[in-house]
Amino acid sequence: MLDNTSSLFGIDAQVAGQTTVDEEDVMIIAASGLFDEAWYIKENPDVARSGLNPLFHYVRFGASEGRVPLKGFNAARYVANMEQRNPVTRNPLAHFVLHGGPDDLLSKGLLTGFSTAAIKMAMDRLNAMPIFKADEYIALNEDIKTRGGHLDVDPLNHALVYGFPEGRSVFLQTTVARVMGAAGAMAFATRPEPRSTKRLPQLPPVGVYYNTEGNAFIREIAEDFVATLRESGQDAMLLDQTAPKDSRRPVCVFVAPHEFFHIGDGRHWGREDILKTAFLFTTEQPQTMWFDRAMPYILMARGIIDIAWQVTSIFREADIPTLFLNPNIRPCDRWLHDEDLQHPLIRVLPKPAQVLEAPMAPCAARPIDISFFGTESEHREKFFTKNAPFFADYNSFLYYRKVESPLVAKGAHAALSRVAGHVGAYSKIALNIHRDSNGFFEWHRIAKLGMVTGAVVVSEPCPPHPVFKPGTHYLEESGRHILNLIEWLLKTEDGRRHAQSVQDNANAVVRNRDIAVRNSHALAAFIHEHAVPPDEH
Amino acid sequence: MSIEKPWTPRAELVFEAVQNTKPPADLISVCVTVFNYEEFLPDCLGSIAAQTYKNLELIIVDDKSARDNSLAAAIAWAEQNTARFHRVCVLTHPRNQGPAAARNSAFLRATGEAVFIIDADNEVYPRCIARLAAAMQDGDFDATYTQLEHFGDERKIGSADLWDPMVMAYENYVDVMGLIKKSAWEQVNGFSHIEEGWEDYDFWLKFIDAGLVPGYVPEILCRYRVHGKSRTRTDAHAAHEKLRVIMAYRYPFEPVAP
Repeated sequence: MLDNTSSLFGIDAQVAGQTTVDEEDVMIIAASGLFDEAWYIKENPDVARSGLNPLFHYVRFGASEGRVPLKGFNAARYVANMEQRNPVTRNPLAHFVLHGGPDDLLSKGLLTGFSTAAIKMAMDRLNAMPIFKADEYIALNEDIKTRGGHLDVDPLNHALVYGFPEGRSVFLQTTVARVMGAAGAMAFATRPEPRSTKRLPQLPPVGVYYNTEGNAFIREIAEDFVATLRESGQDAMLLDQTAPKDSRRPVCVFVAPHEFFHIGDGRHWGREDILKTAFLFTTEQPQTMWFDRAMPYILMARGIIDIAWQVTSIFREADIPTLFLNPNIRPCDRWLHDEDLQHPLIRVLPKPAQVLEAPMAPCAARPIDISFFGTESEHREKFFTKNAPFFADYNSFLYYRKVESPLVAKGAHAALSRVAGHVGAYSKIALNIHRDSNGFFEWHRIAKLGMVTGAVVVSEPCPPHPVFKPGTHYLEESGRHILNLIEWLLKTEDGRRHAQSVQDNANAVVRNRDIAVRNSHALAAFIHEHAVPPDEH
Repeated sequence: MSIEKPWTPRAELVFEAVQNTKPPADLISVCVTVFNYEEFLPDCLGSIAAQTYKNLELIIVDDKSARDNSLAAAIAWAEQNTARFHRVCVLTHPRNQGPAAARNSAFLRATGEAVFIIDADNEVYPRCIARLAAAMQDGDFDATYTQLEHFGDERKIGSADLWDPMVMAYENYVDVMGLIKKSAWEQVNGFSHIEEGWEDYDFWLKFIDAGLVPGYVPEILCRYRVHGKSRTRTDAHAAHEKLRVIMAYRYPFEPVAP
C-alpha cells in the first residue's frame, strides 16, 4: 500500500500538486489500508490502461465519477448518513477513515426518518429473530442481486429498510412454521414465567392508542387492554391517532401496530423519538403480511406485548423486552348499544335474541346452533364450500365476510364486534376456522367472543395456551372431522353433556379474578421494568 | 388423544364373510381404501386375490364414494371371492372422512398382526405380501415397503430407497403402500388427517418420532397408478409449499442422526 502511495509522487507532478487536500486524502486512505487496489483495477479496466496509480486515480477522479473504492463502500449513502452529524467536505473514504464507522455505511432506504443508530439496533434485533435468515431473504428476493449474481447489498440491511416497507417477503414460510411449531412443542414448565410482583408499582399515566379507522375488533382489544391496566389501579386512558403527539402520555402503548402506523394520521406516529419509549401491543400472526408491516416499528420499539405465547418467544430471542398478554376477560351480559337493535344483523336473529340483554344461558337453551365471524381466506373458502350442505341443516349464523381490505371496518361494520358478542351469547357453538393452514390461538375469537359469551368454542387445532386447554375450555378437531364433533355435541346425549361441561369450565376461568389480578400485575410490572423514565425521553 | 374420539363416526359393516376355521397365526390383513375408484377396483382386488401369500384377511373401506358405485362393486366382488380369504369385510363411512380416517377404520377392525395398505387404484405383483411379510419377520422391522412401478398416464420407477430419517425430514420418498405392524400403527396413534393431503408423510414422520424403523425391500412389487387428470404443475407446486409449511409446524425438530 505504501509503495503505491509513494509511487504517486512519481507521476505527473503538475496534476498531483493541484490540491493539497487531495494529497492529504491519499495519505489518509493509504495509511488506513482500506483501499482495495486490485479490486479497483478489476472493476475499472480503464484505470489500468491509463497507467495512473489507482488510489491517486480514485481520489483525483474516481470519487467524483461515482467509482467505488472498495467493495460495499457506498459513498452517496455515507455522505447522506453524515449530513446531520458531520458533513462530508472532502473525499468520502478519507472522511470515513477519519470520522466514520461501519454503522455510518448502513442504508436507511425508505426509513429516512430514522437515525443510523436506530437502524443498527433494528438490524441487530432482526438478525437475532429465529424466523429471519439472510440467505432465505435473498432466495425470496432474487432481484436484489445485481445482474452478474454478485451481491453488493447487505441482505439484513436491505430487509429492514426496503424489504418491510416495500412489502417484500422477508421470512420464509416454512421457517416461520418451524419456529412456531418448536415454540408450541416447548413444555410450559420450562417456559419463562412472567416476573412475580413483590410490590405493585404505580406507573406514570399510560395512553393506549388504537386507530379509529382500523378493524372494529381492535378497538375492543384496546379497551380490554385499558381495563386490564386499571384492574391494578393504573391510570390508563384509551386514545387514538388523532390525539396530540407532542403532549402524549408518558407511557404510550400502540395497539395493533400493523394497522395503527399505516392508516390516516397513524402514519405520523411512527417516529423514532416516539417509538424508542413506546410499547406495542402486537396481535398478528407471523405468517401474514400484516405481521411484516408491523416489523419496522416492532424492531424500533421499547418493548412488545404480544397476544400469542409462541410469538413472544420469537421476540425474546431477538432481545426485545417482551411480555405475553391476553387482556383480562370478565362476564358480560350486555354487548349491544341501544341503537344496535336496529342493526340489520340483529334484526335477522331469532326473535328471542332481538333484545339488548345477553344473559349467560346454558347450552341447551340457546337458539343458534353454530356461529362464526371471520373474513375470507382461501382456507375458509374451502371449508365453507365443502361443508355448506352440513351447515344448511342447522340454525347457523355464519358471518363470513368478503371485503376488499381486512383493515376497513366502518359504518354498519363498526358495530360488528358488539354484534359478534351478542350472537355468541345466543349460540351453542362458536366455530373457529383459522385463516390459513398455520395454527394460531385466536384469543379474540376463542376467549372473548367464545368463552365470555358462553358459546362452546369448536376450533381447528391451536398451538398450546398456558391457561386454556383443548378438551376442557374449548374443543378442537381437524377441519375435515369438525363436522363429526359438531354433530356429536348437538345431537347426542353424551355430546350435549360434554358441551355443557366445557361451557362450565370456560365460565370458571372467565370468572376467576385471581387469574385477572395476576395478569394485571404482570403487565404493570413489565411496563414498570422497561419504561424509560420521562426525564430520559 | 386416542384414535377414535367420542365423535368419530363408526364405519358401518355392510358385508362380512368368515371361514369356519381357526384364525391362522400368520394372518395378514389387507386394507383397501376406496373413494370413487369403481373402475379400478376389480384390478386392485384381483391382484390381492392373486397373492402367493395364503392367509389373508381383506378389509375394504368405502369412504362414502359419491360419484360412482364403488360400494356396490366392492360388495359384489367380496361376495364372489369369499373362498380366497380367511375373512372378507366391506365397511363404509357415513360421511367422507379422508384417507387417514379410512385407513384407521380398517386397522381398527383388522385381526392380523400386520396390515398391508393399498388404495383401490393401485395394484400389487403376486409375491408382494409374501416378500414384505418375510422381510418384516426376518429383519424385525415395524413396517416394510418395496420399490414402486408407476403406471397409467406416466411410466417410471418410484423413489423408494433405504429408510433414512434425515432424508425423510426433507422429503417423503416412501409411499405408504406397504406392510405395517398393527402395534406400530397403535403406537403412533394411527393416521392423522392433514387437510391438504400428505397423511402418508405425516404417518412416516410419526414413525421417526416414535423411534420405529421400516425396512426397504429392493424389489419392484407395488404398482402405483398415475392419473392424467391430476392437478396442473402450478397447483401442485402451491399445494406442495402449503404442505411443507404444515409439516414444518408439526415436526419442527430435525431428527437426531442414529
